[in-house]
Amino acid sequence: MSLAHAIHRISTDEGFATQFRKDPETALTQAGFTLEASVRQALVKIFQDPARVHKLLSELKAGPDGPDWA
Amino acid sequence: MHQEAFECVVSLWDQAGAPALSEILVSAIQSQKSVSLFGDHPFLQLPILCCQAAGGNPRLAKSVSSAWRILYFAAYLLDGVADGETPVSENGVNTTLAAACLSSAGLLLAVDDQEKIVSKTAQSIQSDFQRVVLIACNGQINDLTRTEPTLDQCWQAAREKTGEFYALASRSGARVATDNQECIDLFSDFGLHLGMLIQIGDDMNGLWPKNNRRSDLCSGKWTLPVAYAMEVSSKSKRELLQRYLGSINTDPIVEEKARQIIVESGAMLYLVTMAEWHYSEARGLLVKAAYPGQARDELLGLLDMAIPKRSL
Repeated sequence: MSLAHAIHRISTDEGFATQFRKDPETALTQAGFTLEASVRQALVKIFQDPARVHKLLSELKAGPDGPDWA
Repeated sequence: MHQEAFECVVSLWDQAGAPALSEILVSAIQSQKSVSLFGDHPFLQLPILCCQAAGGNPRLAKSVSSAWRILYFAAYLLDGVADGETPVSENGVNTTLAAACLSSAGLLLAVDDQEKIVSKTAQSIQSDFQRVVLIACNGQINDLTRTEPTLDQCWQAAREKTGEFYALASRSGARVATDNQECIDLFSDFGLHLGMLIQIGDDMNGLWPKNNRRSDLCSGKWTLPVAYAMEVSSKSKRELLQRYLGSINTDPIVEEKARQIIVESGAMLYLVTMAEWHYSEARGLLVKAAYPGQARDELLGLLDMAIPKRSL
């Protein structure tokens, strides 16, 4: 559950979020989050683009697009 | 193509002395929603595209594709019942029809002797279909009986209900094209990641009402975003969310409040990150397994369709 807790920390702790944006690797390691390399890569990719995250969050009220059912 | 698949099932059931089931099936597939769903749904092409991308003649995957369509239809019916979207009066008929489709899908591989699939391969795919049907049923049972699953349990259900289902379609398509087990496994894992992407999109969509459909929150479904929020939030937030979820049907404003707690916990960012991971893994596997060409490009297109759009 390291990824879930890491993202929760980024979402709710502004200080940690700032540190993560500056240096994701160090921030995660210092906070004790151990993530597989590929998962870490996906996390960094999502958060390295603040505009993308902002766009995602601001559009969430309308609901994301996607397949109708699975 | 879908017409042929259903005609095969009707013929099987007629031969087995079950014409009443055939009539129900014909009536169900003639409904407008089913026609639009099955007419040209791109995910139905999965076995044929995987066969082609693995170097096979797409005609070889014809019976596999028919069997996959029948499973897809059964899953559609069961999903409607499980999500409360089917009128209660039709639940019994649809569940019976779905069960009959689930048990018949694999048989389609045995009735088509024109496509020259080696019988050993056909038998092996047939066993695989039966195994995956059992796994998917187990996932549905867990989904229906676990009222408040943990995040791990939600991921397990997503894998059993959807991931394994798409893995089956992909590896079956590859299996009729090649006997290279490493290649088949790569396609299987590609399908698994594709299925997980679709389930993530479905759970993300479900957090909001859409096209006259109630949200999953209103339906009382404990999906990935809810399980995430309950996993990571503080005790006070968890209790608040629990209280909101318990009173959603009596107070519409509460739905928005519950959704706010879930979004603020980071649930959507978590799911987008997981989607990004599944997308990257699937893409890498496909590039490794598939021959370059139109089929591979179309499979990459399916991946792009499956990833939640707003995260791109």
